[in-house]
Amino acid sequence: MCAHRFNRSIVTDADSTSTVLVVEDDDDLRETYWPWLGGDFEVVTASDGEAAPSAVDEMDGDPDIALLNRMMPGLSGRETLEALRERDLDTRYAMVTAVEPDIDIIEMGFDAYLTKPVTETAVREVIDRLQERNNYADALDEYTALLEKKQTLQAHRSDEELAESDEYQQLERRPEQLDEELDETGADDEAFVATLRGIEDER
Amino acid sequence: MSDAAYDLSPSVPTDGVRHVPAGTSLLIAGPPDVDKREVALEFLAAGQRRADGVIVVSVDLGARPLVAADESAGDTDDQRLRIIDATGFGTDDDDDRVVAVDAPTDLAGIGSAFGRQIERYVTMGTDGLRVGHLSATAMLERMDHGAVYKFLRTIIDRVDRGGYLGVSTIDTATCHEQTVAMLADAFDALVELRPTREGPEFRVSGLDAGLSWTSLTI
Repeated sequence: MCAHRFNRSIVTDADSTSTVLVVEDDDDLRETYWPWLGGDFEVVTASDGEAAPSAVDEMDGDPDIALLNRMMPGLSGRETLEALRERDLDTRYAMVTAVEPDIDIIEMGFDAYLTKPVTETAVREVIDRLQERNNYADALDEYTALLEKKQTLQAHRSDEELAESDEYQQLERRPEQLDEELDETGADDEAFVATLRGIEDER
Repeated sequence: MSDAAYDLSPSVPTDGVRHVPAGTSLLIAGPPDVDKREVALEFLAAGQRRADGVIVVSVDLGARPLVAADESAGDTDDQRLRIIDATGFGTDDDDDRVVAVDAPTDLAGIGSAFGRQIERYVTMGTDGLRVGHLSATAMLERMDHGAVYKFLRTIIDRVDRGGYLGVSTIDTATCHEQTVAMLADAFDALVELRPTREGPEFRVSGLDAGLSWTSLTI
């Protein structure tokens, strides 16, 4: 009971360019994502669901965001999502759909949706929102890892040793900062379930 | 939903502790020989006796015995009680206040059921909302403490943003002292219970008022 594990590493890639995977069968729309997003993001595209996994393989690490068209010949957006989810990617998924979804897309495993006709503003808005959500999840991961470290130190050292430990003093300060960051970001209502799913997937 | 303070019930004698600000989450900790669930349900039911809604995420007790325990805590049998049964044993009940989730580890399922229940209360226009999670101990039997921390923190952040009251329990004999301390970090206040010959006592840390060992009468 109450198993102890301290094997989680902290990965922060705040400085690197975010990557976006686009799976879209409509040639015109697919090509439009380049001029829209190419300046700020590394964009990789696939013209159908079957090609999505190999597009991911070509990327340098997991895509941060994936935009999946809902209705495609071959694998649908939903099936593509399932195929990608099986790979446990550290990715947020948005569904691109012609009609307002009548089903609960969050329960389906999507984090957000975009309705057609897609505009540059709308795409950027969704990406921003999903990235903010990643920031919350990252801050939560980091905060938890630091807490675990702190508790380990507390368990193995005397109060005098802790008072003299620079590492411990630093840990005391860092969580406070992160704590504020978490309070500020918070997961909005839509992000709540997605955040919980992220924790579930990480396990 | 109002921003008024939550009344934890008359069993808490000191005013600064009895009335806690909206958005507060409490962790009730103690050894096996004090009934932490009873105290948690008392804090939750105290709201339903007024006009608050109550949602209980239950991991260690099925919906039916939980409803019974809740009613013996003085709660009334009405629509303002909602249970998310996360024991994983399903529910044979056709009680429409109960939503069953596949497993205690189905965090997205719990979250999604939780979100839907909150919406109901918003529609109903209850004064406030009290959220119980029973228990952190049961969750720790199935997940490592990092995942449990993140889960609770996400729930607690939601409780804070909504201006609700959050209550969870942890067994201090089953769980390591460091684990209790780590999880307590996510909560606003720690309510510690201890048995004495004259009955249970409790003390509170983390709230403005604070409270040293005081007897608890439920």
